[in-house]
Amino acid sequence: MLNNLYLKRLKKDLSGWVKRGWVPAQHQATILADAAGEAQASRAPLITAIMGVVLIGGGVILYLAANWDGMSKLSKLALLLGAMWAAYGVAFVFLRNHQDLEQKMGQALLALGLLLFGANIMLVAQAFHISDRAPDGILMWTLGALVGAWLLRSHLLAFSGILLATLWTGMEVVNLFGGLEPAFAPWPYAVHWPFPVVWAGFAWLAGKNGWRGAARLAAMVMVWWLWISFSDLFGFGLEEIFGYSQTLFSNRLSFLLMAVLFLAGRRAEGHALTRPSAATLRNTALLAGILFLYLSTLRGDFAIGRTAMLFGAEGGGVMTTPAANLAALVLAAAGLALAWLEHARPAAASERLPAPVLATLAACVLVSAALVPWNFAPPGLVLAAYVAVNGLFMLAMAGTVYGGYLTGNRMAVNLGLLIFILWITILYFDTFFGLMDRSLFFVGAGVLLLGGGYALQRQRRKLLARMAGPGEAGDGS
Amino acid sequence: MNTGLKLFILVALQSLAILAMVGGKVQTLLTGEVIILRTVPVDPRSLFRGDYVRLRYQITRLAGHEVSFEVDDLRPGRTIYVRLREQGGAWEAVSVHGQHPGSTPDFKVIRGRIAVSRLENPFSGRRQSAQGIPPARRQTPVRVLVVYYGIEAYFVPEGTGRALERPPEDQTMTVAVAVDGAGKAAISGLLLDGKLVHDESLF
Repeated sequence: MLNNLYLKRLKKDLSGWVKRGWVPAQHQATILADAAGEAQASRAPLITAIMGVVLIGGGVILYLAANWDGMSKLSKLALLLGAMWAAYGVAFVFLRNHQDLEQKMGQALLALGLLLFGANIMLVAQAFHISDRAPDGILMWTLGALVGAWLLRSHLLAFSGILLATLWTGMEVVNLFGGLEPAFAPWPYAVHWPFPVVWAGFAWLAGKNGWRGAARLAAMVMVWWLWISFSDLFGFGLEEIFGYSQTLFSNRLSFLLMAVLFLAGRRAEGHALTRPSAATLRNTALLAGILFLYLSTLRGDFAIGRTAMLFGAEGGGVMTTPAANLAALVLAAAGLALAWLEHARPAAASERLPAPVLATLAACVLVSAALVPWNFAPPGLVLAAYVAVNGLFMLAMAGTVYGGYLTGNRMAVNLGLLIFILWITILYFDTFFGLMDRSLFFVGAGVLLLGGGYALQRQRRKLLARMAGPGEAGDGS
Repeated sequence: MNTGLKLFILVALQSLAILAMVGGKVQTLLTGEVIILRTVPVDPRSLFRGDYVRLRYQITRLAGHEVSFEVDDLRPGRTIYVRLREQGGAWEAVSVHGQHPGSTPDFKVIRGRIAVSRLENPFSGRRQSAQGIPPARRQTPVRVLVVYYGIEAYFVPEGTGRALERPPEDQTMTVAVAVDGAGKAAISGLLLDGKLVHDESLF
């Protein structure tokens, strides 16, 4: 982490020194490469240590599994606890030494200890036929990671713990390993409220210690959990998103949620405690928001008349609900308020989303919210709405690229261009596949991809080169 | 606080958590009264797990027309107490309670958690069992619970689980379960036709 901060600072300073003529321009790349090489090299011991830990852990577990049946319960318990104590004991030997390499080895061995703790939970449950709620075992494992991360200031344990917490809430909410049986004891409410409590522990540790990896992971996981909870509350899931839309509001509501989270991420960048994870929150919400906005442009979401005929008359499917309509209103209001706050932000122009981009985002929010309660419409109006939404999507992609360029968000630039070319390609296939002679169709597709891809790639390189120039703005992520 | 002390605290807490898992089950096996529960065959369409027996009992599925529900809140996830009475060599469910109703020599209590709670018509498609039931009552849906007691899995040597899940038709599998004063249960053995085939030692 310190190496990355140093490299970022060095890059910024070097640009200024080159401009002032203190450092020859031709040496800039060499200096940066040399500094980056040292940073990369210092990660190698940690990576090999982690690989070693995973292999040792896997080997221990395989040995136990192969000899399990012949052992008494007492010997199983002694072996399991002994292995865990040994891992932590060796970790202590390394951690006593404050050298960088020994510290990394110690951290890797702490991770082994945590891995063995989890294995112990599962193997003890097996040995003593404990078949109570499986997610409780994962929760115990997660809390072990949280305590370890807090006591020993371990970034690796915090990172692992967030992954475990994600597994835990996944098992509670979606019955991850339930197979054909009903959930072991499904969470009785739509939202798994204990998760944010545990998550907050990890997020606080990550913010307090400046652990960027853990902070970013925490932000991504929180976006995912919010979406899962949101979709549970309104009764739609992946089958409604990626299957035939029986709940036509699902994509639009999901987009509205992501728009609010994106703008909340922008706000969070202004506070020290939340800044490490704000960029990830923003980018994750941006990626998910673009996906849902794209899904909202598909013809399936506009087959209102056909859908009514298929589902309305037969009584199946839900096009919208009062709760969904209210949620759309609330999210739209929140989105517009955050967009206004972003516009009024007392920050440098390079740190603020430009007005045209905010206006496009606001238009997407308004149109999406307006379409949530929309059930029936004459075919002409449906076609007009379909064209308008697709046009708005195209503007949104242009806005993503433009906003990313101005605020130094490389991910937004790359994403906007990639999605744009994909969208054009899919539209082409969707529209012309049945209309044109097959050979002509494929030739046209090839020309579009080759020519369009080349042109966009050139533009992307120019944009990124300009962003990397002197006086780089934003966070460059 | 130095690193050594912090690590010691971490190891101690994690070890205590493991021992607490074991201690709970051992305490139930040591202090609990052993009762016999009848099993029901596991759905053969389920995925095979050869070294792991999935157990379902007659008391797993509780229907409102067979068992008395003495509590109103029957949401999934809720902890309930099922009162059992011995009939024909095995213990069967009599009533469902929100609090432990107390055990007697004739009635034992086992603690469970509701996994599924739904309304079903228990007589749909079953003309034979509906005979003698008034038509109006046949159409009335009843509350059906699927309850897990923490004794739904039994780990056995690899390859032997399948035979135990679905024993031959001429054999009956029952499970010896220790139930302690709090209603917690632990498997103490598996029986085929009343003969012990797997005995759960403490250690």
